[in-house]
Amino acid sequence: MRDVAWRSARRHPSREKQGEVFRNLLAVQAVETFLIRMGVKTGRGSDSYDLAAQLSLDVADLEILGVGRLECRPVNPKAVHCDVPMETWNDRLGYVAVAIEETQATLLGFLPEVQAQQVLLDRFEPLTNLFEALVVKENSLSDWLVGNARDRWIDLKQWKPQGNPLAAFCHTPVVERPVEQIVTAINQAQDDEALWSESDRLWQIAPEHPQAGVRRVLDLGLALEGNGIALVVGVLPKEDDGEVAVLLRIAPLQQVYLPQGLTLAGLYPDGNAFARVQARESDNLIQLKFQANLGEKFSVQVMLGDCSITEHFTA
Amino acid sequence: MTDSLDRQLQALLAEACAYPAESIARQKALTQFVAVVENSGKLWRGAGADRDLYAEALNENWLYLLQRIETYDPGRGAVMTWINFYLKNRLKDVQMARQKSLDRKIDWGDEVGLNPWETLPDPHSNPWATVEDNSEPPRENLLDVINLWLRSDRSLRRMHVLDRPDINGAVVIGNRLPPPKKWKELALELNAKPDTLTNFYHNRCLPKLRSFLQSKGFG
Repeated sequence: MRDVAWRSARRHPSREKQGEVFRNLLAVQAVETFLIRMGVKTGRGSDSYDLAAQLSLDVADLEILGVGRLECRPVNPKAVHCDVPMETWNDRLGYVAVAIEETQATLLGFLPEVQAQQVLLDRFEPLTNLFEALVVKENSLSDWLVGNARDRWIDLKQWKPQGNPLAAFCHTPVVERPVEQIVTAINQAQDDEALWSESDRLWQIAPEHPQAGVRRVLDLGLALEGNGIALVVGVLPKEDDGEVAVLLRIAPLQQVYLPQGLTLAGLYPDGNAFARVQARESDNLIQLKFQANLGEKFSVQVMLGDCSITEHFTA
Repeated sequence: MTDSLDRQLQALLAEACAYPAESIARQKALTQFVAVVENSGKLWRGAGADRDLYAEALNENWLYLLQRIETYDPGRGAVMTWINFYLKNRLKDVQMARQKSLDRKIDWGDEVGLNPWETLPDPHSNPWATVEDNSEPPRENLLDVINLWLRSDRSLRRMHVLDRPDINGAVVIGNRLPPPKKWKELALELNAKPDTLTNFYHNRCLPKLRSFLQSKGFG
């Protein structure tokens, strides 16, 4: 184990960097050994093994196959705190503190999130909490329909973004029509286009109406290179139980138009796309509409250049 | 023999129960009870378990049982049976807890003594002399090569944060080479948010640096 860490470390000309890389990889391998014993599948595709990342960042990530990356921070056995550099704050399933000694390593505890570069060790949770973090986080649309959603998905009715009014998230012009008429139109809609146009109308007038379905928004914020962008996911139950209609909609938060080339895709569990749309030069909105059977799994991916964000759903 | 032991223990328990809980009289009775049990030779010995763990289990067992002497039901069996039943379970708990903590310790498994918190020995040496050394020796000129690239590759300057040509690849990568400038410091200098810089670095700069190093045969 240690010779792998050593060989990686000695590639670096700076003595401090050598020590840092050596300790980081010891921590990664200690956690990897522990997880393998517990039957978790790990890989070596992480930044912690990559020369460019080692050179320019202080990272100790461990690849959990098919799920994401776990940060394994080395801790001096005499220390009372754990260092968690800023460059590890994103894109991690969580953080494990690992005491590194001359003859052994000890896994001290786990945190799902950090917001400071130094965390006191007694803030760490029991190691057993780690296992919850190692599963793909899914959003359940049937839960959404009964009012339960993970915190990061905000109810569009309650959302107060800076600048843009809610109306910007519907591109169907408001028309004065009685609510009952719109509801009837929703129930009689022959296809997804008609369904969502009518639903937009109902949403603008009466978002609380039971037939208006559920819409939640995720602020994609800085994740896409400083372009403020929001992803709205709308769900409507269908007449025949067992199916839901799904709307995916992307709109800009600060600019008028979406960045050209921004892609929105719906993916099957195997990663292949079943639908995809790309923003052209002057698009202020892009969207996808489809239907899913309850229990069906899919993912939503938003991409711009090298950056992408993926959210996982069960209908 | 066992019958008379059991009668004795039952009598002691009954006496203890007759006194109010926490009273001195009860405590005296229970102390005698424990002494008789431990001297009886009938207490389960732990069947070869680690002595420390057994002692811990025994201790916890007493703490547990003496709080609930009223729950002993003579109809269900002898007092010793009652005590030994809980003792065996307690030992299992203690063993499992110890095992869990052992699982968190990872032994390096090699003989090499190396303090990871001190400056590592000369990279030209190999503490694992028996390991076949196919790895690259340290390239003293790695930083020189990168610095040259930063100065000469124009595309690095054209790659920048939206509306901020001053926050470009050459500047940010340059500041991250050892010894790196801290993100907060760099953010202050460039008048930007630290997470704008880290995102820019991860998404744009790092892939560029990586492919440059690969093209030069490093990493």
